[in-house]
Amino acid sequence: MGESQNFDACYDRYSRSVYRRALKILGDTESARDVTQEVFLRVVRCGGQVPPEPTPTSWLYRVTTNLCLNRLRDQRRQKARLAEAFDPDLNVSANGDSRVIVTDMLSRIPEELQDIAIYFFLDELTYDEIAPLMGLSRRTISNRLASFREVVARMFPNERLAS
Amino acid sequence: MTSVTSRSRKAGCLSSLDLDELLAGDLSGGEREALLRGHLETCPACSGRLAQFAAVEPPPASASLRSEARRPPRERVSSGTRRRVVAALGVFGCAAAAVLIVSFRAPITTERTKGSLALTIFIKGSAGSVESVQGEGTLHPGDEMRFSLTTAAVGHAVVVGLDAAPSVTVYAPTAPAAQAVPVESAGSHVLPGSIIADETGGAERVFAVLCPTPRDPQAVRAAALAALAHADGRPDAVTALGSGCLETSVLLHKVARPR
Repeated sequence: MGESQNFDACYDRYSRSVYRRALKILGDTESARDVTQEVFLRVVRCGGQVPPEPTPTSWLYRVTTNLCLNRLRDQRRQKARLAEAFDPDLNVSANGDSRVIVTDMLSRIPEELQDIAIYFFLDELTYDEIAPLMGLSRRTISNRLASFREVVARMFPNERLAS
Repeated sequence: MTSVTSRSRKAGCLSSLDLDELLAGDLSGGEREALLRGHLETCPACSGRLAQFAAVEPPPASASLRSEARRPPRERVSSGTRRRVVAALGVFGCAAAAVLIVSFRAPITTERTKGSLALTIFIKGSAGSVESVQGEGTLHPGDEMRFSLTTAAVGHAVVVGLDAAPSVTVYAPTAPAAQAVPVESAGSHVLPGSIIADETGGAERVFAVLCPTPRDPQAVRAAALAALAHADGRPDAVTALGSGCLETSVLLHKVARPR
């Protein structure tokens, strides 16, 4: 099988999960499309194969998350988006769109806490599932989530994070 | 008070990662796959989510992405004017060469070493000045680099650069398809050829690998690509290539030249 065919097979196999994930984090199709292309460009430049550890999908999760966070950081610089994010009329219910709220919060919290917040709140992964994904210990995951909660409590005193 | 996010996933239910791994066929019939599929058969919520995931229509690969995938790997990392191999010393000029010779003869006491291998990078700037870098240093686009190995062992050397693109380029040997550079005696050896730094900014880690038998430079590059991928494309986070040979590295921070 040639390199181009290898790439086609790889794209067919994994693009759905990469795109879905980017769409979930970013919330708009155009940005999700761009991130999907960026992720697979990295795959091409890394030799055309998705690294298998712990699984190819988990490697793609990390890369997709990082690229989405980069994009959100760029968006953070846009005052209009910030204004929209902290619109006091924003109606959030207990079963509201968690993506909107978490990603809006992400634009205001320290970078080292952002990816873990996505895995926990958006993906609803457990500590034991996040640890191998990020290559960190369960204790570190726990500590960082505690820090995330403290930051959110300080910055958004009227909000409550689900435990 | 408002709940910002509610975790709706019930204990025992599959995570989004589980579902994506199942759909991609990552689990290849193992015990875990049997466990997950067993749960799916009894859980309408999870099987419903799996159906939703499967229904997502991804965008097609862009033309530029397909074009990049069709290019031979060597062209991907060295396309256009990204890096040019320059004949040894010819471009450096006599004055710079003299500086290099003095530098090579001077005792090296601060090199970063692993085992019995040390890497020094000589960097010639646009003004013609040459500085030696061990451990960590700064590089500017357009600077010219040469590589010196100090070793107590003989062997065959390969030097690769891992950058933030992320990509990996074989710096030594400089000729395509060439064998690893023989190092036939203990001491310091300046490797043939030089490299012009490209415009890619950020961190770049340069690894020297010394093996007792000739190692295919492309195999070393493949190991470096895997290490870079494992570090999420961050060259500064790569600490080893796992080549099984002597390894050492220098971390360069590539920044625009001050005006």
